[in-house]
Amino acid sequence: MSTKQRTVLARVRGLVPEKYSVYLFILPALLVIGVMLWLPIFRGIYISFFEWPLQAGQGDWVGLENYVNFITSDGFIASMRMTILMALMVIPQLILGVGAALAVYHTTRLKNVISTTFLLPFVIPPVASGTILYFFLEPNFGPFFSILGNLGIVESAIYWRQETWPAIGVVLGSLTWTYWPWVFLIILARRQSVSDELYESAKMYGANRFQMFRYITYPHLKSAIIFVVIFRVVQNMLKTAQNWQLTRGGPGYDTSPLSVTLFDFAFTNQQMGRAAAVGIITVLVVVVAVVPLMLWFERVASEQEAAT
Amino acid sequence: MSTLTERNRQRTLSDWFWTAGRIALIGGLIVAAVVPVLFAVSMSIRSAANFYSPIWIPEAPTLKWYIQSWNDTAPLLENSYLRALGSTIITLLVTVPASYAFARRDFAHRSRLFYAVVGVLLFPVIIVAIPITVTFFELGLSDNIVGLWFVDLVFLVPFTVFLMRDYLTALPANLEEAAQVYGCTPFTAFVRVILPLSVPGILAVSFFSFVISWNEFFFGLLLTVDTAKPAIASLNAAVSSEATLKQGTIMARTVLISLPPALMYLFARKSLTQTFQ
Repeated sequence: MSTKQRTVLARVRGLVPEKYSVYLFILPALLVIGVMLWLPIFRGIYISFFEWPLQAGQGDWVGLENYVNFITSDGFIASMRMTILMALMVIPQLILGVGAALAVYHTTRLKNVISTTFLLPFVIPPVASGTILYFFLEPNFGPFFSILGNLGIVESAIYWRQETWPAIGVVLGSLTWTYWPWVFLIILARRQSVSDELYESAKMYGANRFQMFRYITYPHLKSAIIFVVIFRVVQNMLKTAQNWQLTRGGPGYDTSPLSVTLFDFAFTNQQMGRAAAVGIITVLVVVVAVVPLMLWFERVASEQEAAT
Repeated sequence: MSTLTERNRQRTLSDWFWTAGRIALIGGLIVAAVVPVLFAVSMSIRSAANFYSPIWIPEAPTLKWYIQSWNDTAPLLENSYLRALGSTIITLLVTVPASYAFARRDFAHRSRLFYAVVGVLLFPVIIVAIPITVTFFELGLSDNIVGLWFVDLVFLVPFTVFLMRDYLTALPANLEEAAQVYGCTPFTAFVRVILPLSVPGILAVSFFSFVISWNEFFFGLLLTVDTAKPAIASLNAAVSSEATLKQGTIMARTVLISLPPALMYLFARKSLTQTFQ
């Protein structure tokens, strides 16, 4: 270290008492959260009370009108329904992820090739996989419906972008397809850390496969499963890119979770006041969903601590 | 004796079901994961006459679509690269010291401050999209890569601190003490002892930061018009009813954009899982 650097350091140190110097290490991170998260949140609340076209800037004070208009519109019901359905996709994601992790764990050959292949949907950027699935599922030209047609599973292609439930089905299917590998990764890592000795002694006492899962595997995976559920519920609710790419949130707002509706108000209509109001509502909805899950996590964690 | 053979037979039957189920699950998932990806690659190397052919391995594969889309895609990829690189560097500068303090120093309100940073992972960061778009528009930061660097920090910082703290906690406990015996101050102990030892962790989080920033679509689209547009945001225009006619170039571009994150993940997966075990 050069003398110049040393004097600069000494001067900085002189300014801050030794006891507080550790706070200098975390200050930049706290500043980022303050300036890029909390300031915008307060500004967002402010913007949501105004008429606010992007180009023209701040307009008239409208009070709660942005909120009331959105909540009483059909778009609100559709957005809420889609947000909840997307959160629920944690169930198939979890089943596939845990199933695949256990299946791969007990596979002896090609383990690495299989895990790498499983990760494919997840490692492609979501917008890119949305684009790929759009063409793959295209009713007139895409291969999906022609394959199903040849197999005699469907009689004619489904024009899923125009119909509510098929559109919802495609978007939810894509969401599951894209993120189950993430669950697989986490659960497989946790499964690998469970000691084999436990299973050997269970086998000696004549435990069957189900009993071993119930009394060894499941308790060891439990906290990882809860972590996965919390994280995926939040993430699923907020995913936008694939929905946007597949259906643009349509028909109507039927495949727009709140985040896509926000995006639509902001990007397509450039109505920032209305979009900001949707943002505040999104936060409330996510908080309502997450708090019970967090409490559940804490309870399980403390139970586990008590058990060991 | 008979009970033993009985039990053996039962076990083999259940083994058989279990193995069959396992293979069926793995096989099904592999097909589901691979088929759409193969389709994209196949579309990107077919000639236009074969776009709707059911045969996926084209007789005369062509790189024409890649060459055609390269001129438009290259500047976008460059934007993506600059964005992801800048975001990653700033993230490291901000989070490595913070993670170190959270992991290895004791101070008042440590865990509260830690959760104030990491808790953002469970927060719908999307709420900042609107105020940031408005503010950047007013400050002239829209359509500017520097603006994207700052936006990326909102999700990169909590994630990186979350991973880095664990990594640094796992280093041996008395490193700093030993360093101080040799005359290091707490700060130089961090720079000369802890930093060199955290290189694998730093590499791993840089890698995640790069991929997350590269893949980020929402802000990339909202905050750019043209000059700073990242490649990922350009895919917004890829889907439309006329787009099926241009499938070749669109798929070529999609593959080009997906390759960097996909290759990075697949090749580094092993060292990544080892780093955070």
